[in-house]
Amino acid sequence: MIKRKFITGALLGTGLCCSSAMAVDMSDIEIHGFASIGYFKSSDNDYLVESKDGSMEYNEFGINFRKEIDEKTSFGMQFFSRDLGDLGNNEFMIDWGYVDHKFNDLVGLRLGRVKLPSTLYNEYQDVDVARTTILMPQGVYSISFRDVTLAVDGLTAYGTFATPSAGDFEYNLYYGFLNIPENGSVKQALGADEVDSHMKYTAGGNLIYNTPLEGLRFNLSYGYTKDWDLNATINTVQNLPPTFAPVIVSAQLDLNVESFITRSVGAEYTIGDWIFAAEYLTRTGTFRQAGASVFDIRWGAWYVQADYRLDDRWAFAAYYADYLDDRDDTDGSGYTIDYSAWQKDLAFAARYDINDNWNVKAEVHIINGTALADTNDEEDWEMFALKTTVTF
Amino acid sequence: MRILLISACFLILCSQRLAAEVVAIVHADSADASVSASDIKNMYLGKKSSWTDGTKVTIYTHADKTLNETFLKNNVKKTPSQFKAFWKKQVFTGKGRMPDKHADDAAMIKAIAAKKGAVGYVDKKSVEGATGIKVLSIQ
Repeated sequence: MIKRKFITGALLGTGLCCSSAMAVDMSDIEIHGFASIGYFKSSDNDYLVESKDGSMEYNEFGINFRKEIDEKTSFGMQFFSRDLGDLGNNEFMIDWGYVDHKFNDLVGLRLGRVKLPSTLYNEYQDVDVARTTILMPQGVYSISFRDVTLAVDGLTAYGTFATPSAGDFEYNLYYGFLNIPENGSVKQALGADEVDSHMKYTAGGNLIYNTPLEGLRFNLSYGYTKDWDLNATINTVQNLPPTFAPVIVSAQLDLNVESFITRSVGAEYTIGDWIFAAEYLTRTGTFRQAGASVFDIRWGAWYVQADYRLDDRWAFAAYYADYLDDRDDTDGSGYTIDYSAWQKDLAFAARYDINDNWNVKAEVHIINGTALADTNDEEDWEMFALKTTVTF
Repeated sequence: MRILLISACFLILCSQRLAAEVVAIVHADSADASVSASDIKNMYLGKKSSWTDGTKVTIYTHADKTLNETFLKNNVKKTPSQFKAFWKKQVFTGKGRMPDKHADDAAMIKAIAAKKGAVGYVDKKSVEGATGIKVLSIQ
């Protein structure tokens, strides 16, 4: 704990010392980084952390290096560490690291661990400094599953096709494998002690259409994961009469999902100091063991968001986000606790930029339902979040 | 009366500053003397990366708040904060580097004259008599 606090302080201190946006330039190697610490407090349900009691078990650190090898080729890598309740525990991982070669504006290739191009903002979930809110709409941008959804190990192709008067089209295509950390969100979601994951491949991409109407763009995304095996070991402690020692019983869960599909559609409109966005996303897959269905994933989520920059210091945002655990079960009739089938979140956020490299954010969430929460104690509840981030 | 006089002077100064005409400039040997509005926008968003002769585009930004805001809003269609957020996203996903910012017109002109492929913007008045650069016409 002391070590973690020391690292937090050191990184925050480094950022605070930087009074303007700058990179440490060492022989043409750019170095940038960020450090965040946050606090959650909720009224009736634990969410992300043990938030009912108020928790500061939320931080993020990143440091990246990038070098332009020639005019068309660059290499970069970012190390990332986070703590979010039981997730992360400040173990550093390679967040992204790839060689990028841009043949021309139409075609470029990235090889390595690349941010997964999906939805409007998936690649930028870690870039806290680039948005007003602390938590993005969680049905679409799950902070818990960021270790699985944010990057792909493989190859991506990208480019822009500009037209004289019909706007321009940006595309991103990817092929590779999802990185499933042994101690990450999947292990936690399955309640497993060990998780081993393999997949045949994951592939997909997105298409962004920047329309001739200035500031209006649309996004269409599709992701397909083929033959994903999840081998989980779940240990349970069986208490015997007091004269005997407890026995640990291990159960093996060998899950396979033949196809796991993510689809999304979104729109963003920027006008003056306002940015409006809306997206709809679904994730679908059936996990089977020995051919028998164990559980279905039929998530559905959407949100609408408005973001306003008042001046150099202040920005405000609000969104309404709706998540359904089973998008065909809108009233929770198939659930023991009906309101655990959905989560509706009305959020209001404020951001204050102390300087170009240091911001403070606060937000309030008024929530109905507990589909994404850790407990199901109350249907209607609230959460308050606070976060500060420094970058250099 | 004194307050009125000071206010009038202030307004005149402000209007002169606001009236400053911002022009895009490039290296004197640049293959391009003009670009489309779409091209200059895409250059500043990293989506157009080379000039017609293949030279790599290098974008510069200006530290002067009014000048910066005028250029970005008119040509990149983003406010300075939106532009900064856009480039922060590029930096923290490895897609690009933050554009170099130059303190004033003289520094901008000097930097562009020293690098073929660079593009920036200054007050039109500062271009008169400047060497090593030329105005980039935006169609």
